[in-house]
Amino acid sequence: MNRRKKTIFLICVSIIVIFSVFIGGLIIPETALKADFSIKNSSPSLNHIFGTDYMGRDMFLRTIKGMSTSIIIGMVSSFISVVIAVVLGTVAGTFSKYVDGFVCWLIDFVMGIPHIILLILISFALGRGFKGIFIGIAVTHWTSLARIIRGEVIQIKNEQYIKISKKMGKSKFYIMKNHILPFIIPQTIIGGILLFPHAILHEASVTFLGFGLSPETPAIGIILSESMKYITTGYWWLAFFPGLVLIIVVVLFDILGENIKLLINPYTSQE
Amino acid sequence: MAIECKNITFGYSKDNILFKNISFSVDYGERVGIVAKSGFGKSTLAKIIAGYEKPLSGEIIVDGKPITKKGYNPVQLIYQHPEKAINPMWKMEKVLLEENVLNDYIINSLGIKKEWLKRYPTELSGGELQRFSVARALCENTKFIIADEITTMVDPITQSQIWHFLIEECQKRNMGMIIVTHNMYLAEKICTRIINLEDMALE
Repeated sequence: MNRRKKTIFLICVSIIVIFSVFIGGLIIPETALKADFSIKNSSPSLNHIFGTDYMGRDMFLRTIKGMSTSIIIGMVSSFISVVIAVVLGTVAGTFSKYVDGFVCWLIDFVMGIPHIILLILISFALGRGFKGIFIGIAVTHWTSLARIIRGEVIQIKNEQYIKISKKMGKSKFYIMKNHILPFIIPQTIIGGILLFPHAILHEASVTFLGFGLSPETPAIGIILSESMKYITTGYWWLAFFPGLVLIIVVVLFDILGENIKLLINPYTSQE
Repeated sequence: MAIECKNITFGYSKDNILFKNISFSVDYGERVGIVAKSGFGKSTLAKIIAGYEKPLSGEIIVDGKPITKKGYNPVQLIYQHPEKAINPMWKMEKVLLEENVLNDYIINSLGIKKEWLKRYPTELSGGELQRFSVARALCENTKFIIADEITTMVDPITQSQIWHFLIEECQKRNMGMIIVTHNMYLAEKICTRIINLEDMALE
């Protein structure tokens, strides 16, 4: 098996696992999560491979459903982040140095505040829930990608074919749309995928701290913060398995991003 | 007088002057060769005339007006390296469509094959790409063409094909041409007038 085949194999495996968690979470009905106090707090067994919680709910189903919620949040908020990053990055690179200065200042400004504090603030101010989380993550995560895109735009702006296009009387918007945007799309896709794990982890941590989603939503952060109450009583599976699934999904996204990067990059794609 | 270069001085800083007080003019229908040894600044002068670089002092006047920054520049430069002058992510068809020069007359006269239009720039050779650069510069608004060593990388047959077409086209449209080269024989063959920058610098 050569490098290219291995890369494609890893990409396929990550997509299949992530997708099945996502779809699985969507098709699990609410009734499957109803309380059954006769089997509460049972340890992992063949019937309940992740054990059950204090209300007798199956932890495996809860984890998958929670993970699927997290994936939706990750997708929507990293998509918004990518859009902000692309717009600000290209604008900074294309237009005058004052615009560039302003965008750089904005990037430094948002980067300067620790993610989690800004995230808690925004999420709390917007009344928690999905809206707060989406906007909070989107507003805090675009900075590094915007900086990368700005760099790429500045680099490509000095290419001869863009100067020629300018001398042929093409407008800045024409050049941006036809020359610059196609060039930064690969970077954007990779940046977007690599934003995903950050978004999921931050969603989980804000929810864990109690500033994110409401306690009824089956989210991975809620499950983890709930299980913290029981960990001292020896119910280790309540925190261990959901945490493990969270880490696996995050690592899979990372593998997906890194491997797509290898595949898109012309210097490594044929190895 | 169509293009006038008045006392052009260029350098990378005040103490590092490349050339001083270059003045000449080119009329419509003329083909002026610019000859000098390597490193004199021929390509830089070509870029200055086409508006890609700013001179330290002096000015370029086209039809009595200084060249404008916005809009179509009637003075078009054809670069020495076509592989840098064409967007590697565009199909050749789009390269020609950008300037609206995708017509059979130009394509056939330059020897561009139909199947090349569907390819990407990396799938064509330097000489093949150069034909596209030449075609692109021949937009209808172009009044002057500056050819900066445009045929150094192609075989003699292609070279003659490209030059024949360019000369014919310039005569037909009454365009002016500035030919930058260090090949004296080529310059003598195609130019109506030759300017040696080294002599000019000595004066």
